[in-house]
Amino acid sequence: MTVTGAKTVSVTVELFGHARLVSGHKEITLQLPTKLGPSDLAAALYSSTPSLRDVVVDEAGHGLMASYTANLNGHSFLESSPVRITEGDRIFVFSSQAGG
Amino acid sequence: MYGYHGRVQIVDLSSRASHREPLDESILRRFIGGTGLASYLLYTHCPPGADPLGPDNPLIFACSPLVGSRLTTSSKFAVAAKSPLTGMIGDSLSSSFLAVELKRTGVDALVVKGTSNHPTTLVLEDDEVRCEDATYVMGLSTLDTEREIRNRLGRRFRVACIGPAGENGVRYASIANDGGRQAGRTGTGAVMGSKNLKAIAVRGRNPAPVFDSESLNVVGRDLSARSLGPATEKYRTTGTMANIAVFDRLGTLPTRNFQQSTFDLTDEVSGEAMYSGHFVKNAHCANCTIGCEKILTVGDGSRKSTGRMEYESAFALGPLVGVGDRETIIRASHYCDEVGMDTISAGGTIAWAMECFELGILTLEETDGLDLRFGNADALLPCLEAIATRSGNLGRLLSEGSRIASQAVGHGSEAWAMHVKGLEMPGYEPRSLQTMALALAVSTRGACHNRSSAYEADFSNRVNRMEADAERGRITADGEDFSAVLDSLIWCKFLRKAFDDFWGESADALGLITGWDISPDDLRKAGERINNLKKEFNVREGWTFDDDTLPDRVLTEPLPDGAAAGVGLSEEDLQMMVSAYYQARGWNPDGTIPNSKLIELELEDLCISHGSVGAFAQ
Repeated sequence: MTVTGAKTVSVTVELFGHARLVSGHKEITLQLPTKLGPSDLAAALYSSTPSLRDVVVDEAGHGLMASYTANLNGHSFLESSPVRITEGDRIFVFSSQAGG
Repeated sequence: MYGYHGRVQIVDLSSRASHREPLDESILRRFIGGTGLASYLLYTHCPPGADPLGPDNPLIFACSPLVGSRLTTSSKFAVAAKSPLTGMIGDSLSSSFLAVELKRTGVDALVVKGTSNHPTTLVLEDDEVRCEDATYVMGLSTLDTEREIRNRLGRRFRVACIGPAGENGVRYASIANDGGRQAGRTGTGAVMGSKNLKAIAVRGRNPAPVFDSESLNVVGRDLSARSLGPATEKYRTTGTMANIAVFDRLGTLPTRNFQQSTFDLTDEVSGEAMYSGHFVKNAHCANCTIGCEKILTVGDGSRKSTGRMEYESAFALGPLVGVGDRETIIRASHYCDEVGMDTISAGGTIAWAMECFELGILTLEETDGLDLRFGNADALLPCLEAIATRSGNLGRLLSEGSRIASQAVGHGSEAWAMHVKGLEMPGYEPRSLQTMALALAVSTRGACHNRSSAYEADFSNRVNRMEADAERGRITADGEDFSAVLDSLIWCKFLRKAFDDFWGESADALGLITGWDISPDDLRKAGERINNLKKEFNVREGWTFDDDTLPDRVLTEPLPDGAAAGVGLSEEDLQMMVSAYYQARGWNPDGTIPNSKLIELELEDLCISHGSVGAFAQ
C-alpha cells in the first residue's frame, strides 16, 4: 500500500484486541510515508483492511477512532505530530483505554 | 436528606449489640461516600495500633450517594479495614446488587466490630439486625455460600461472604458478592474471617430519595449513551485481558517475578486467545451499560470451570509465574474467586516462592513435594489449594503474603518479594512505566494500580515513560485525587473516559441527587481531603518515609528484554519523584502532613490530635 507522492517504507502493523479479532490478522505489512502521522496510518488501514473501518479507523478513513491509539516500536505514540519511520519499524495499534 | 439516609449501622459481634448513629451532612459533604466515607469511618472507629486480625479492627461497608440512582455503573460499594497485609489502610471496591440492597436498608454504611464466638451470618433486613448461625455454610465456596444463604433467607437477599481462604486466615483473602464479584485487594476477607463472620445478607425496602429525579434521568440517559461509545470499547469487547499482548510488546508485562518485562508464551495466554477459545458471554453489574466482565469456560463435565477473567488475574497467574497454559490460568483464576482469594497477591506470593525454589532457598521438603519452578502449570493449582486451606509448610508460609513469608525465610529473599508496604505488585512494570512507579511507591494501600490512574500518563506522549522527572509528582497527586472522587461517588473506573467534563458532570449529578450546591472545586478538594485522611491513618499506624519505596529488584536491576531493554529506575530517581510528590501535596519533606494542610482541608477535628479515636466514635 502506498500513499501518493510521499517516500514510503515497509513497516509491520501489529493489531491488538478487538482490532485483531474483527480483522482476523495479528499483523499486516503496509507501505507508509517516512514522515508518518495518525491520518496516514488511518488511510492505509482503511484501504488495506476494510474490516477495520468504523472499528479502528473512522468512517471516512481520515483518522483513528478515539478508542484506538498507535505506538511506534514500543516507544513514542502517534499523536498529532508526525514521526519519522524507517524500513522494518513496527507499529502497534491497540486500545486507547489503558486500564485493567 | 436526599441521596443519603444520614445514618450508619454499627454492629458489635462480641456483644451482639447494634444501633444506628447519625451521619451529619457536614461529614457526607467532606467525604462523599464509598472509599471516602469508609476511610472516615475507619479513622474514627479503629483504635490506633489495633491488631488487623483482632476484634478491634472494624470492617466497614460504605455505599455512596449515587447508589440506587440508576446512573450507569453506580451500583458500587467500598470495603475498608486495617489491612492484615500492610498494617495500614485497606480499602477495596466491589459492585452490583449488594450495594443497592444495603443502601435500601436505610443506612449509608455498616461498621462491624468485635468477634463472634461462632460462625455467623449477619442479617440486615430494613432496620432489623440479627446474627444467624453460619455453621451450615462453613467451608463452602463463595458461590455456594451465597446460593445457600439466599435459598434459606429468600432470593431478595443479597450476600457478601468469604470463602475458605477468609475462614482460614489467608492474609489476602477477598470478600465476594453477587455471583463471584470480589472486593479483592488488601485482605478484607481475612478481617471478616477473623471475626467469625462468614457472610452478610442484606435486604431493604427503603431507598434514599433523589432531589431532582427528572433532571437526573436526563443526565443518566446521556451518560448511558456515551458509555456505549469509543471510550469503553475495550471493556465491551475483549475486556481488560487484552492488555497482556499489548503490555508484552511495550515491555511492561511483569514476567517471572518481575525478572523480565516480556513473556515468550504471550501468544498462548493473550486476551485475544482467551477470548477466541473460551469466551461464553459478557456479564454486567446492576445498573451497568458497559458489561466489562468476560465469562470464560474451560473443560467439560465434572472438569468444567466457568467464571470471570480479567487482566490482573491473567497476568498474576500466567506470565508472573511463568505459566503459559491458558486452561490452567483460567482454572486458577476461577479457583481463587471460589475460595475468596486475591489473584494478584496469590500470584505475586507464588512467584516469590518460585524464585526461592529455583535458587535452592526453598527445598522440595519445604514445598511439600511441589516442583515450584517457574512455568510449571501442574504446580499452580495445588499450590493455590495449599494456600487457601493453609495446609502444609508451603500453604501456611504463602498464606502470609510475600513480605511476611520472605522475612520468615530470609536468605536475602526480601529483595525479590515484590510488594509495596506488604501489598503485592499489580501487572504494571514500574521500570518502564515510571509515573506508575511513583504511584505504586506512595499509594496509601501499597502497590495499587487502582487509586491513581498514573499509568495513563505513561501510555501517552505526555511523559517519557522510561525516564523519571519531577513532573510526575503533580501528575500522581492529581490522579489520586481524581480517583478518590471517582471511588467515593462511586462511578466505575471504566466509565471515566466517557465524561466530557468529569468534575462538572459529577458535581451536577451529585447536586441533582442531594440538592446540594456543590462545585467542581468542592469535589477536587474532597478528593485531596480523602487522600490526606488515608495518609493520616497510615501515619497514625506507624508509616515512615521508608515505606514509600519500591522493591530492591526494581531499583537495582535494569530490564533485560523487550521494548524497554536496559531501562532501570535508580533509588535516587525514585526519591526525586517521591519528594516532588510530597511537594505537590503540600506535605513536609519527610512525607508527613503539616497541620496547616490539615486545617486547609477541614481535617483538624479528626487528625491534629494523633493517637485519639475521633469525635464520631466517641
